[in-house]
Amino acid sequence: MGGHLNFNHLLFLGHGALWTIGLSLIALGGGGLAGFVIALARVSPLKSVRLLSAVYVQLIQGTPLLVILFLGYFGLAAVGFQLSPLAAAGASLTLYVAAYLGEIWRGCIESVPKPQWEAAEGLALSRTQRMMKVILPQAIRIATPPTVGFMVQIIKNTSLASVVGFVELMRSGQIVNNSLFEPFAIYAIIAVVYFAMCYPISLYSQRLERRMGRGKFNLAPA
Amino acid sequence: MKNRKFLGAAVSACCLFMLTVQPARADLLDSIMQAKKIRISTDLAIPPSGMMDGSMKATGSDVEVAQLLAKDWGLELEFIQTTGATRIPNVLTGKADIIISTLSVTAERAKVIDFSNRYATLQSDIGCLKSLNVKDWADLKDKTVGVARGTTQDTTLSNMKDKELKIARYDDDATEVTAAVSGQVDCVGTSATIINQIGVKNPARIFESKIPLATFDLAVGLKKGEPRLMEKLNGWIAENIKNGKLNAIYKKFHGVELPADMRG
Amino acid sequence: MQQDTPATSIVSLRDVQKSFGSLKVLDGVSFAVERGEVLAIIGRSGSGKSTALRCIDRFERVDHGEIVVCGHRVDSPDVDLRALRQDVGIVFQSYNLFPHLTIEQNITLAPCSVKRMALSQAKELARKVLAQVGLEEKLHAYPEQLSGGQQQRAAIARSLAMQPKVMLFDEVTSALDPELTAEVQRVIERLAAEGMTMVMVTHEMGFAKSIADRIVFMHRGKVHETGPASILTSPTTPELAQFVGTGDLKS
Repeated sequence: MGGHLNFNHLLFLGHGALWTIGLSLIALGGGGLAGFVIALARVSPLKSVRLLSAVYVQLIQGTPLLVILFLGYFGLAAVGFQLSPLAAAGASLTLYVAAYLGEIWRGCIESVPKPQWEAAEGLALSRTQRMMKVILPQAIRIATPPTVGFMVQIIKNTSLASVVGFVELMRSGQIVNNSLFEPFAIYAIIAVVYFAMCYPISLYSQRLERRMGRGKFNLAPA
Repeated sequence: MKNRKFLGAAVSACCLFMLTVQPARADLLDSIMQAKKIRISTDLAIPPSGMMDGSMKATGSDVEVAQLLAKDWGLELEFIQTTGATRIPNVLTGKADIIISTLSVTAERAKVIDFSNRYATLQSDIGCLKSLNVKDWADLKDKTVGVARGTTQDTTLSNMKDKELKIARYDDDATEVTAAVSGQVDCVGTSATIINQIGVKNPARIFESKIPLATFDLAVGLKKGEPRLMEKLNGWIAENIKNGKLNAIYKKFHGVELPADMRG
Repeated sequence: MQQDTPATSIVSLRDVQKSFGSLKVLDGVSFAVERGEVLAIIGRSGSGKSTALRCIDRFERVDHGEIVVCGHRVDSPDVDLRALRQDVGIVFQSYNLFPHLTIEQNITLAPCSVKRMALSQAKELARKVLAQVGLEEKLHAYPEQLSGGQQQRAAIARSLAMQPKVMLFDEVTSALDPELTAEVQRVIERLAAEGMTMVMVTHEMGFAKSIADRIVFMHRGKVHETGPASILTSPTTPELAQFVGTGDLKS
């Protein structure tokens, strides 16, 4: 107990930061893919698919991430499924992110004006062609800001993975703090590291938005 | 669609299968000995029992107890990273074999896990700013007492409804100490070691133990229904109380000795 | 009212009925459009004229009746929609160009995706149809950079690129200023002169009178009066008389 912040502590924090990055990549990669499927399912012409995906989204959105993580790690173990902390955290985060991104993206798809669908339909494009060539390119533009906002949130939310024994950035800070009792220095470092992870994403999204700034919707009466 | 439904059904079926058909499971002691490895659930953020030293190696009284046990039994030791709240789930779900992590023996916990005999005790006090005139519980009226959330100190103080205490709950001991160091609270409920730590951090605010809160028995926690492991643990604890090793470890980190009957 | 639908009809509706909930929008509508004919559907808002037009391209499903368009049984549940829409071009009031694509890409999208036309060939086609509507220089512009009238002309060009057998116009000038209306109308007049079969819903009585071979006046979900453009000046029913009286025919 006590002592001063040294290189080993920083190394330990750095190791935690790597896990935060790793978990974020898994969450956003897996969740992004699954979320895309959920978004498409939510606007599916088949009622049963829409319903099933809606139930999934409601279920996950109504459950705190901490609980999902807990159930994924300890809950499944209680019924005989032993997942490693990485698998449990990765799967839980993926499930969680998929529900939210799916819902965000559904909203973006649906916010593309309905006449755009009709115009594409009138040109004899198939449903897939309408989605891929007309609707999604417009939906992506609308989706960029909320998606980035959510990504930044997820990076910070990976700290909850400490519940399954992950020593990510936040938990590593807690551990260091409990051996040094220097909360201001340690949490300042952690804040800077989180910022360093999140800021480039926000910056990139701004650039992306500028680049895609072309072609806004005309607001002629429908 | 159909596939998803099928998958769902398959998953539930598998779960059920594993629940019911799990063979008369191997005795935990046997599997530990067979693996030549013991997995111990220890929170490494509750000083001075579990913490990190300057080179980020695990240290603390619980850490040394765990190391001693592994060495005596000729086993490799693996610490299972845990927080206070997940110590018990870790052993219940087989993620860890035993808990050595300032686990106080309480009736509620005894409903879900088994406890070994005590291997140490934890003396908790109400510590206040040295200059404060606090002699008994009545003097604490209208004062805010800081505790670490979910600890046995928290539970004990919360149950003292008649004392009209104001309790401020912090995430962990380090945060509670920060609150005391920075003047947000003038009293804390924690171990004597932590109380002394406050003055080290801020010589302008020296704290001292004012009222003894409780003495908790600390025991090794394990899954229910493992009599052979329990017996071996109790034998090991008795032996190391007798030879004074447990007392020595305790004194090294807590600065005080165990109760007289545990000094060997 | 007898309504023959000879084999040369490009579009024919027979006793078409359609309700939105309890509201009957089309109540036994019948009319036919011959090859090369320009038909204008007029009527008050809520008379069912836009719904009738949208039924032709199957944007609305009918409850009862028969619709045949270029040989496709549109009222049948298993009509080949993509084949139907390759034969029918539709232009909307709100242009509905795709904002993320240039005018050229707007035009080449369907020929390339639907007809599997080579891109170079489609680009050539784009140039040709844009020339038809007088917008060659806007090939690489984005829709937002165009005026309303230009956007609507580009939308017409986009439909033309699919070489439809019949064009549907749904109040295509309603969102435009008078001077922009004129430029769009000139494009449509040229198409008519080139022999394109067209069905248009419009409230521009002057335009309907000058371009339409035949007028269908709809009133309360029914075809109330039909005939050559001259019925606009000498209506036989009091409802049409009252309608054209309030229209801009005299202006």
